[in-house]
Amino acid sequence: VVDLKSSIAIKTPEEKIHPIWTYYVYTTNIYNTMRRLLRTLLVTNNVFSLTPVEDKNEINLLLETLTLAYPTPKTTIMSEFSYEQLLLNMFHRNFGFYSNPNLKYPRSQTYNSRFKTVLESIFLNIAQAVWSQGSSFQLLEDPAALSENLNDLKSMLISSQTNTQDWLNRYWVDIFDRLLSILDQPKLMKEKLGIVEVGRDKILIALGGKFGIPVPGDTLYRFDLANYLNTFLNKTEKTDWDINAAADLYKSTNFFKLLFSAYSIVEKRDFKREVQFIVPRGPTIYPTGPTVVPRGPTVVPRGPTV
Amino acid sequence: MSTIEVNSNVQEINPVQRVWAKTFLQFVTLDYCIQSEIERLFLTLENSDVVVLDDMKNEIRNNPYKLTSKMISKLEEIYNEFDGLDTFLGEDSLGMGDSFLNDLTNYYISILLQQILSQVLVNPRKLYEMQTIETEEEIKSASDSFGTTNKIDDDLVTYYRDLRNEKNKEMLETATENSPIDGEIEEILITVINSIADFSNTSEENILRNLKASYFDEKERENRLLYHLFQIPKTNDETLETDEEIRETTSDKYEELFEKSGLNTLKTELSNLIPFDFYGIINFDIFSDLMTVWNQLFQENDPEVINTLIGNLPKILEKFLLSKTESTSCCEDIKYRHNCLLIITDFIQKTLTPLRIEETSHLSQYPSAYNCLVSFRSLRAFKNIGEWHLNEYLNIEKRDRSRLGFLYVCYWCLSPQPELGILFGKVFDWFGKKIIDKNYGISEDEQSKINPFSMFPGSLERSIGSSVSVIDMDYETDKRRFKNKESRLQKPGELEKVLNSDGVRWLI
Repeated sequence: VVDLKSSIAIKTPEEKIHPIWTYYVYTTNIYNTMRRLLRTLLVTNNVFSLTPVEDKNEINLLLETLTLAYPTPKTTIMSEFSYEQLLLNMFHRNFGFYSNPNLKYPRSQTYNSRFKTVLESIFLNIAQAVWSQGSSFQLLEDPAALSENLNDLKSMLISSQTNTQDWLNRYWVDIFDRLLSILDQPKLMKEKLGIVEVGRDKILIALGGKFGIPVPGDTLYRFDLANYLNTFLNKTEKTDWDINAAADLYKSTNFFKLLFSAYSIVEKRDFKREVQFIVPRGPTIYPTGPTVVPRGPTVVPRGPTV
Repeated sequence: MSTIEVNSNVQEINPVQRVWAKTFLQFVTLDYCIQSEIERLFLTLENSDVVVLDDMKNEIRNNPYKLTSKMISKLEEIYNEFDGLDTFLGEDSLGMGDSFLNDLTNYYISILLQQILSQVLVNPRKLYEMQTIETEEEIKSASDSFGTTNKIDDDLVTYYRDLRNEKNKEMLETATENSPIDGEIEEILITVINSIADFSNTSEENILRNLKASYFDEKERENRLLYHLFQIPKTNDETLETDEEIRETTSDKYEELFEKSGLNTLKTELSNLIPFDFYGIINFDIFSDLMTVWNQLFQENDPEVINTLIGNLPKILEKFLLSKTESTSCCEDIKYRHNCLLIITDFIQKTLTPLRIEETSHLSQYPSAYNCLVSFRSLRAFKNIGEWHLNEYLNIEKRDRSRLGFLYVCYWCLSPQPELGILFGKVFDWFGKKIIDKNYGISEDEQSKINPFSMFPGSLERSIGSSVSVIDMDYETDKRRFKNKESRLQKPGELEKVLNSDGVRWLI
């Protein structure tokens, strides 16, 4: 018997921001966009120019970001790969993302391959409950299965975030937070770069367009999803799930509706549609006898033709 | 009613928020002191020629924070009379002149300190950074010797205090762009930094922050101060008629508050700077130099805690409504749930008026020390004209304690344990047994059976009980956390500090 409790009893750090947040922010390509912006700052003044006295703050801000967000590795072990590759390694280990064998980054033998399946089965379960709530003919709530799944998810997440994962994630959270806050600098974006869009996602898309870096069009939903999943997974890791606790989740309908709408746009799986298209019907009649499945064209032996 | 210690884990409390809450308590204390001092200053002798007109009394009630030239000349008259009396009586004098000068000095000091604290309220992180020292080894809880004393080694505390004072002196010099500061002012400012958000009078709490060994001492001091600030008035308080009676009863009351709030050392040092005669006090000007240097230290506004406060205030009533009363066999809380909800709704509606919420959100949008003073000053504000003495303000018959309630709610929101039961218990006591019996239909016998903690389980941060959609609240908390962090990261120089404090600098 596998003792689930012992792995679940591992404590999670306070004030933690979940690696899933880092993942969805990373997928907006903000890191590469900023890389090009900083590169431009260093080598040319034909896109924007900052003057040493009036724009002292902006220059300092960017230079600090440059050294801390795009550093060279200090140790010989670290110099075998870049920080970005280490980040991909984290996503692979925690969530099983980026398993494309053509991508070059250091891999762990053990990784969390079932993350997405379990997560989506939880979402489907919740979606069924949320959209059948108050229904008079069919209640699809199943808190027992939900609590099982949640426990499963919790144990797989907690046991995969070991060694330096927590520090690595905190590093990237801080870096991404800084990059995001640069998008909020009206002086830099509006006056210097001439970007008049409103909202981080729009500014980032415009910035990507300026530097020729593809930024996904659904960036807004990626930011949303990052925040929602961060809360959800943190909660998953911190709660001791039982049937009652799982049933409580069904009450947060608004939270999950927002989460699912962002999820359907980013991950292209629409739980609302899936739930809606379950048509109530009578008991399914299964065929009694073994069904013979035809296997390819039957070859009829032919006698020798004369 | 005993307060249950729900969360004694100091590590979980956001330290900057803690600094803010404690500074806030000191701020409210000073307000008491100002009210009490100015009240005592304008007390006259019986059958005296010097009379304070009602017009002036009203003016002082409306704004006790500023002395007009008319008021000062009135004060001069009063002082001269006292002084004359003292000289006349010679050896047997009551020392009324001296006590008058003492009050006047303290009045000016209180006003100054309130201005100093208002800067901290807008930017608590700055103070936190000044009070924190980063050293290789942490202060360990016990002494090395075998003779355990249950106390931290004094030498160690002194050593850290010296270390920190050195650091702060350097910081002061950088803030004033390396121009030399007057030695007196520098010393005073060091004491200021040590005394704010510290009730121990020896800057012990700031140094031993996050140490479990000193947590309960700290808690006890805080509870004592809270008791004095937000105490429950006694029913049979006799109204004080003559000025003499008031002078006797209120004497030492505010001095005690100085002591309790940990500002005593600071007050003594400041009063040593001021000459002890009437014109010397009135014309004293070192305070403005002090404020200039202090303002240079706090040039940025970073109202992260005020943002949290404004996020919390509108949620309070909802939390009470969502909190689920468990019905158990031993207490019949569920029976009176509706009545108790009425009580708390009435309280919140009176206390957190839209005007006050708007004022606070204005403060978080336009954070400045001045706006801070406007929002959190004046216990008397929004009160009927005609109530003159602080005693009367606390009198049970005059039930409008809404301003006091507002200040308490602000503190409660940001305290380490914003348990719903704590606030409800306080409100229950404030309303008084008679009122609750009459207006809310719970008889006095039944009242004693009500346990606030089982009536409204849960806290502002997270609610216990199964009726609540907790994840929405978690999401709001997360969002606030991101916002706080981003507001820090918008400034150059902050990224490195954040990375350092997260302990991830080893990566780079």
